[in-house]
Amino acid sequence: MNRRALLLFTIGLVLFGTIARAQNTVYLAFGDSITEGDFDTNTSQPGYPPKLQKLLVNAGMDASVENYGLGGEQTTDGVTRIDTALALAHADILLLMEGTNDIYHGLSIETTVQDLDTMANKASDQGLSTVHATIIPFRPDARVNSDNVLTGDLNMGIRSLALARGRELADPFEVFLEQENLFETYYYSGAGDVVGHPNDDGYQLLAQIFADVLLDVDSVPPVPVSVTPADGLQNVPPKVAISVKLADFGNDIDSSSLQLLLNGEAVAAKRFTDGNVATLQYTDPDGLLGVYKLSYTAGDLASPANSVTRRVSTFTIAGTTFLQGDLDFNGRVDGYDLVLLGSRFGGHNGDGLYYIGFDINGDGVIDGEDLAILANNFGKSTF
Amino acid sequence: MRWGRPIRPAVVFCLLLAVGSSPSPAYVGGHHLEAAVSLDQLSAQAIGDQVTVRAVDGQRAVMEVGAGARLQGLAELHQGWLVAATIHTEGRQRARLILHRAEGDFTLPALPDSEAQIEDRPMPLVEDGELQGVAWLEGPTYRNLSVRVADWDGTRWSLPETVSLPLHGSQMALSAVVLADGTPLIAWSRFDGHDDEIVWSQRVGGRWTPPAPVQPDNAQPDVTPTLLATPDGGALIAWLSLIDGNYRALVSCFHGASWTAPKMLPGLGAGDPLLLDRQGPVLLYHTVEPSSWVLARLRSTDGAPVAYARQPRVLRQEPALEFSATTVRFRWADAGVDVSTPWKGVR
Repeated sequence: MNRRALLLFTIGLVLFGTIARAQNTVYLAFGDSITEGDFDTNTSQPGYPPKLQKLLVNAGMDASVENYGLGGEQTTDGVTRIDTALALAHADILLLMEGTNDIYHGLSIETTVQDLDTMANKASDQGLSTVHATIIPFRPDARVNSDNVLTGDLNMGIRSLALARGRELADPFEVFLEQENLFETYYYSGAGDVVGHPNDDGYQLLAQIFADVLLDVDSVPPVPVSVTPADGLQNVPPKVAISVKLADFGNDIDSSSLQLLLNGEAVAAKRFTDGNVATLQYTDPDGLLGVYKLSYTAGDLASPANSVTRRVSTFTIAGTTFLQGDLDFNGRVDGYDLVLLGSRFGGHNGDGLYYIGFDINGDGVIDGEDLAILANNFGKSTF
Repeated sequence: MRWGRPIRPAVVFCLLLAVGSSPSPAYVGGHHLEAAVSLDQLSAQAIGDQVTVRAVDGQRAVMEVGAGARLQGLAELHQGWLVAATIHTEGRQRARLILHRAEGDFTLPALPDSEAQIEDRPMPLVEDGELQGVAWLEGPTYRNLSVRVADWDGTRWSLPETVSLPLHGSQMALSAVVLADGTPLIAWSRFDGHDDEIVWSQRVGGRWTPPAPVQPDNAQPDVTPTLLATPDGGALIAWLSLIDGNYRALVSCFHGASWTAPKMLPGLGAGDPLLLDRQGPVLLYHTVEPSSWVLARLRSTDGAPVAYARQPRVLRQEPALEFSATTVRFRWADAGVDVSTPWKGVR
């Protein structure tokens, strides 16, 4: 090959590479260990990014997904590390799923959401659009947040952020909650995982959730972006203005599907629907009393429609009295209270068995006297 | 005063040893090392339902804490060692304080007047080796936590005082110390409706002062404060602040009733600051850019950094540390990494 031919060949290669590069969509998957792929039982290609790339390619896209997950990272670290990731990846779209570790490190939901916004803004400054993602549920035996109240709250903050900024959202939290035997089927089951990481099936599910968003497949029903009263709140005024704001990140919400439920019963809530956002509001005219489980039913206009009934809050009205022996505060003294008392029976103040909440007469020991009080109220209800 | 130090639910597990002392075991855990804390002479680690406490002289105690034990604080008392933890029980998160003495372990009574869903960050207030009280966060959800304090008279808790009710949102990351004059000082991050700010309160004349910001509102998150009492009767505070798109470590000094203007320490993406007293105040933190562990020796009178020691953050795990006046030794025992770095003075 002479020098002229070599030059032409080189120019051709460069042009081909440039064209190929222009057609290829690069996704920057940024996050913590759940992006990196910790505990993935598929150790050859851990994490959701390689699985997502395969799904996108199989769908006919010329796409690559770069894994910039880093285990143990908090969003306070992420706002700095993302500068390097953006510089190296030359990506088109940022897939941002982070915040799980913040919960362990004394960072507020408000700060986590603000950090995620900072990261997305940095990406925007580089010309990237962002797909936010909710974080997946913690395992039931996690050291903190095992009830996922905090996760649910953070995820509402992430959804609100995406909605306010007009960004796309992948919602692993919502999809994971819909899975049967979630933790047995989709989570790593070995030792050493104190938060809850997916196994190979779980990472595959994560990849599918992102793929659906990127391929414009709506597989998620309307999700809550704010709830009043908050889950777990006590001393709530009897005439509290109950409000559930919903958003759908795929299609518009089907207003005819909307229902607000208190303890499983539909109430006459006002509905305000505006495209993919809806708000349900209710104030009980007579005032509430007791402990309430707040749920909603909602569907969207996708085909097929995605619909859901989900509990979003349990709250206690101020002035609610509980019978002695109603150890789980459900309004009645029943067999479950007896089980609870039995689990601590014989405990003395200062030992590991004792629990002050079950020492009904407050004498420092959980014994027959407490059992007698419970028995006296057995079967009675207060609300 | 012997212990007027921050006891935070540490991410960091470091073992700080005096030069020439016998080697102590270096604990390097797996993910999420909130299960470990350390003080100058003590270190502790939670595994499962137990907490293991070790002293630099080789003493060791294994304490049964409870299901899902999460270590939050550690203190050395005249009577023994005090572990503050949270556990999960009956669907709630409760604080548990356990005193280890030669004759056995004693669980202190449950925090007073608390039926809340969450008790978090129990911070023992210790003066001259005696437990003076405890400060903690309490509420129905993490976004509705109050700041509460109760005194300890040797056998029982007093009725608690509420220092701060939830206002606009979260109150997090409580830190507490007892100053040289015996007055307790606490600091935490509080959402002000726009972003988190560091606020503080001190008990003066038997009453807690209204929560006040450490610095003027800056419209950016300020998070994870850590306190350290200083011998002159003041205190240092270090925290993280989002400045120009990166978290930076800041230090400020408390004299009487106000805080000095914060001094910014080097490194972008600062994380997990921890103030410790090691022959003077030292701040340990890590940075993303450059990827390092940093020890900053601080001047106790104003918090100004006088020397640094850095080590590349080669592993996720926090290092075990030994340091002297001239060098800092970083060790990652599991990885066989053991490096000494000299202190470098600030010019």
